[in-house]
Amino acid sequence: MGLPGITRFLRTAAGVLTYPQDPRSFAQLFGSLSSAHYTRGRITRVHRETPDTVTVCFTAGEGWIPHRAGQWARIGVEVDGKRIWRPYSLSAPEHGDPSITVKAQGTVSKHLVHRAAPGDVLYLERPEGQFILPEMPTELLFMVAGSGITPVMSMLRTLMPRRPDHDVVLVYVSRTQESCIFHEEILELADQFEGLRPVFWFTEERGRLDVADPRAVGALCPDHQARATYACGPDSFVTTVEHLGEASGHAPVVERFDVTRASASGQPGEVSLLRSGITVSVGERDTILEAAERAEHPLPHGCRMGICHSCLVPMTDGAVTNIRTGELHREPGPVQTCVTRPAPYATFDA
Amino acid sequence: MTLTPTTSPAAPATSPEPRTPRDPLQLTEQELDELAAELDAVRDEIFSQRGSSDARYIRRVVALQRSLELTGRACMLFSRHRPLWWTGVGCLSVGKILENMEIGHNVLHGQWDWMNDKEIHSTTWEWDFVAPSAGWQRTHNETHHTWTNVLGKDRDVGYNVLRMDPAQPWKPVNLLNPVINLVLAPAFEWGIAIYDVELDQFFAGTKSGRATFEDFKRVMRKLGRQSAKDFVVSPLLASLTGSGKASVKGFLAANVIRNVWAHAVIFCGHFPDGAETFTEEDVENESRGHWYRRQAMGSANIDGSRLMHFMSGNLSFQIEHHLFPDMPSNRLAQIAPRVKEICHRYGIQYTSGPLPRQVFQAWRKVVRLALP
Repeated sequence: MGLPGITRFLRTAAGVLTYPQDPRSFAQLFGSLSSAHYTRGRITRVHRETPDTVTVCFTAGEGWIPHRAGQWARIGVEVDGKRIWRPYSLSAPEHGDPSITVKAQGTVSKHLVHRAAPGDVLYLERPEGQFILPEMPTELLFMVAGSGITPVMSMLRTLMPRRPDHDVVLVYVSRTQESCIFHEEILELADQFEGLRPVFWFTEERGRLDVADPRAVGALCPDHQARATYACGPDSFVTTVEHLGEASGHAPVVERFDVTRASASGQPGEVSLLRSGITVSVGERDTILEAAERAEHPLPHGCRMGICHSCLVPMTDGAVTNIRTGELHREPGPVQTCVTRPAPYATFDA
Repeated sequence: MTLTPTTSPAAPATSPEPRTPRDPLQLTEQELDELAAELDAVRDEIFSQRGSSDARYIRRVVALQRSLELTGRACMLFSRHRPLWWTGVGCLSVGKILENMEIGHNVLHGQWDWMNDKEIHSTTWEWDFVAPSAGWQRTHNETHHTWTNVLGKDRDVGYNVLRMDPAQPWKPVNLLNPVINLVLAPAFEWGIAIYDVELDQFFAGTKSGRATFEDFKRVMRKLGRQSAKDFVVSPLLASLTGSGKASVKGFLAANVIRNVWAHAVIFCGHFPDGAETFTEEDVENESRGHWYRRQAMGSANIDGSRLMHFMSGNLSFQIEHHLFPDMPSNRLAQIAPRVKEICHRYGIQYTSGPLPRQVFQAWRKVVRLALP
């Protein structure tokens, strides 16, 4: 019986005495990070990178798996008492304590930039994502804009010490030098490792970089067509790099940072019920519960007026609007179907 | 509109002038809509304020409860020593009461679901009470809170074993009313567990045998684990220090103290004088205003100290809880003066009294209704 086996055995034994609570709930009293429901982490350091960007370093508890350079993880943060989840790229190198680098835009990011402090608990999902380095990278070109640097920074920090002979060009577009995250560290890395050649482009000084134009990119990296290309940043930037790559026959590996889904309330919408594999359209005046019933697919319910919470069904994707409060809910999790409508699309585990 | 200036919803906080009491049952549809709008406004205001201080509150209560339980269980291991026995029983009793009332009952109502935290959520919480959470959520949240005090619909009016309303037909077995209640109080958690199996509905043919059997199995499983924890495994561990017997007595005492207290508080919710009952015809085509009126008229508060409110899981604000079952319990004290003022203006009786009086009135009803 290995260590995990012993832990499991002890936990089951202790569970007899703590039933119906999990023994881990009691361990939390003594600062343990383990939880019956979540993987949790604790912030160890908050480091300011630019006036509106911080790096949050944390240790991760049971359930976490080490990330590969370039991956992201969904991180849950408590904002005004409410747990909200957002995906963040991990900026730390592989094989070290994880960190994320966050720019103050949006509720959760602002909270992290302005409020996060060592000792705070973070809620974590496992790292995922296919924006990762190939097993044997050769000549690489990274094209990043703004906070698109974060996963690439993880790659550079991992790659350069491991294979100093690499030939890497980093084209990094940001507004000013001041707002350029990791500017100093990238210069230091380039000093240390000859194979890294950073090209900074500050739009406030030089105007927009036209990544659609092969000559403009060629001026910064003459052999860009011969390099394996990674692009990360806002949707528009990444899409342009993709087109450029397709024109030369090399599809770049990409990661987008701002995929937004339009939401609308009071308009007809749609819900997908995953387990039954059906999609129900929800009319202007219907709740999700009513629409599902109309489609002859009854969902659990009780009071039908938003008080008894018997109608909770887990939402896995999309958004709903509460018809009583007008509030928009985008967090995956249980939803009161008797008082909500899709906004305009939601997926349920039902 | 026939309202006097002081009853205008725009200025609800002014002290009401004395005037002839209104009959709440004579309120017009429009007045009921206005009542609903005023109460909805109270709800919306509080719900929009829910934030980190509320989250901190419930987490601190949970941490306090777990600390008490750990301390209590540790003391029981050495309960051969009198002071430790008393400390242990005290910690465990308070711990169980907090777990069932301020935490369990309220979490299972979904009062904390807005935090989006699975560790304190109505869909994941299992309480330290024999009745499994899921079955209790059905009989309590759904049946009792939707059909509050509607005879024939709300099974909580007497829990099938007591005659608690003069309109319930008298049967000879009702002579046992006081005896049954006397047994029910110390055994409250087992009573509720059996009640949640809904045997009466099985015998009436409205609940299938399979569903009843499944519920019964679930109750028995939980009953087994609950009993094993407090009356077998813990005493076995305590017997290593020669405290086995003392710890059985200690756990029994803590469970009984919790049961008697919970029974007392819960009987004060709808049975004291002034809490009204309704018929099924009363609630046909009920609007939200009707519903609010029924909830307020059918419930009774308990007056007391902050400690009493805390130990009763804020069920002492039964009226507020019934108007807004998913409002976080720490907010009920805050809205009580406003709810009272609104009820007063609409002529709706706001029943309230100190604990001993409310308990006495509930018991008086139990005894009186034993006879035809």
